[in-house]
Amino acid sequence: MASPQPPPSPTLSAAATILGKYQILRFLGRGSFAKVYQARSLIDGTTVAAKIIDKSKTVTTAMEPQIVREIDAMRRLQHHPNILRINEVMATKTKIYLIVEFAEGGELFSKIARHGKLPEPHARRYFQQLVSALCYCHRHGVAHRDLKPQNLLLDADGNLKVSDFGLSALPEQLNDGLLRTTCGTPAYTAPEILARRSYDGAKADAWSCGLILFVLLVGHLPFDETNIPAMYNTIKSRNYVFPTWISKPARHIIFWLLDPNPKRRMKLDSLFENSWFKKSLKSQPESMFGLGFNYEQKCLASGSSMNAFDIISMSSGLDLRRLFETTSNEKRENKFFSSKKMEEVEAKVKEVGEVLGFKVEVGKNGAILLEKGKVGLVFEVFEIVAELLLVVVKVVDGGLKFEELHLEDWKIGLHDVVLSWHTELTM
Amino acid sequence: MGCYLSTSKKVQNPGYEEPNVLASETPFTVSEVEALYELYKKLSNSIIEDGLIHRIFDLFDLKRNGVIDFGEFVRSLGIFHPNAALEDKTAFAFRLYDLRQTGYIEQEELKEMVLALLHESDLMLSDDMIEAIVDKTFSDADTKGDGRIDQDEWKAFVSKHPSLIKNMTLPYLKDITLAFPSFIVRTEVEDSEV
Repeated sequence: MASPQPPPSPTLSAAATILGKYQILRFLGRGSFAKVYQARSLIDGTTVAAKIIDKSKTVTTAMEPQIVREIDAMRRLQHHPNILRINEVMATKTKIYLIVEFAEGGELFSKIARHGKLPEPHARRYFQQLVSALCYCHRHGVAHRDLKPQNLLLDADGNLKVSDFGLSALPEQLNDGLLRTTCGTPAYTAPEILARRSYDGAKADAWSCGLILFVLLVGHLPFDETNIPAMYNTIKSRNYVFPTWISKPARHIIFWLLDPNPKRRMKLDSLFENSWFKKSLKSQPESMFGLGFNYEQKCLASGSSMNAFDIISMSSGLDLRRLFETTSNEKRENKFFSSKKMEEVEAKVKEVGEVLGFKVEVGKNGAILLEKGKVGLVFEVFEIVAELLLVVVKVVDGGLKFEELHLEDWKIGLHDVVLSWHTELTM
Repeated sequence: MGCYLSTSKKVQNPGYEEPNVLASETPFTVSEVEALYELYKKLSNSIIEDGLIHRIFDLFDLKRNGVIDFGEFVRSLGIFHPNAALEDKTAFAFRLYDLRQTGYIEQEELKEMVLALLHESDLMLSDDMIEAIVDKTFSDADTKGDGRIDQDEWKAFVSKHPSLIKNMTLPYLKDITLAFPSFIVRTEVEDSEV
């Protein structure tokens, strides 16, 4: 054990495992609602973080359904590169284990605690990743509501990972340094929450982002009062000082985000139009054919031939995935048969795509990729026998929008090359 | 639908089996087994529609008593786990397509299944064309040329065309505890087992 930093865990025994699947390696720290350990999977050797919630101490029975809902929210947010992934949940009668991605780089703010403020380009990069993650969540109907430094982690490559989404309803146990103000109020919390008014989670997150950007650039909090009323007044009167080294555009963003009135406060997604924010912005995860392109790789390359068993296995009746898709009724795939030549079908797909305003690309394995706004499509063509082709149309993103807005247009456009559309049964 | 489909089958009597035992016999952890129980209860309350899915549930009914109990459900889904052995998946697919359970996939069975799929698509193909599809596959798969595919031929065919057992893997099973997290409230797992 060559880790001098973290304090030893009170309960950790040498060979502790979690339900025989993970070996606990070392105590990482106390999160806002759980003890966090570094652990290793005994199945594939991967390193993970295990958050252990003690049911008897931390969580009342009434809160368990809350945790269940939160896990569901976290599951829906898994696909953003700057959101800490949750892998699985385990439980015993007394404990709940959340197994999450291990953020090797530790907390972003311990960097600041050690080295002080960050140069503007560095601060901007973390801020871009933070805002991108939050906008993604807000689009999925989840607000974080509890942004604070110990929820901002770094992976091995120094990318930001936002953790603990939706877990804000869980009790606070912590009281340390940068995380809190002297009077003990959560320093990163928006004034409308302090005032115990009902609030909009996305707006509250925007406030927290303003604070975080300030701390990244300055190295300390803008407000720090000894009691809540004083704190509230300081926030209301915007009584904070920008050090001279903060650039004008960055000041503007902080000023707009730290608007005490949530109605006037800058919306996070409008930052994508801001030139300071956009500077050296990495390709958006929203871009379907970039990072966020997560469609299942088929074993068959487009253009290859398909045998009778391939045809049968298309049956929705053989697709047990339907048992698990609890939340979405989105159809992700459409198929049609064609009796035309492969080249003719491919040319038609490209032509219709262009007419309908899609960006058209040909992928590595011969598939045709199309993108328009938030909708991404993949066309793959397979030969069954001479004079019979099967065309699979995958909806990569924006499935619902595709059904609503585009499917009929495509059907009309492709009419000449389609023999029949394959209709899927839904459960 | 095709005539090989069995009569309507329900998942019923959610009889409980010791999760620890099931976990030790399958790729699942004890928490995953408990999460599967949530899914099992959900399915018990819904009648599964007519369709090829009955063919799969027929095979889940290991005791062949017309009921899929919880143990059968977990053991069978274990085959669909991403970490399950490829041989098990290949064998399950063979049993799936061997409609009349003769130990062979016959040309007639394959044709029946293709017809059922085309029926799903409302696609009317000429008999000649369907024959051509089936013949083409048989000329590839039936290497011994006796008009039927045996287990060895099937294994060889699958290793040439791994996409054929794509349906035998459900990546979702890895996320089962996230999909049905309510088991954390009801878990019966003792800490001494930790």
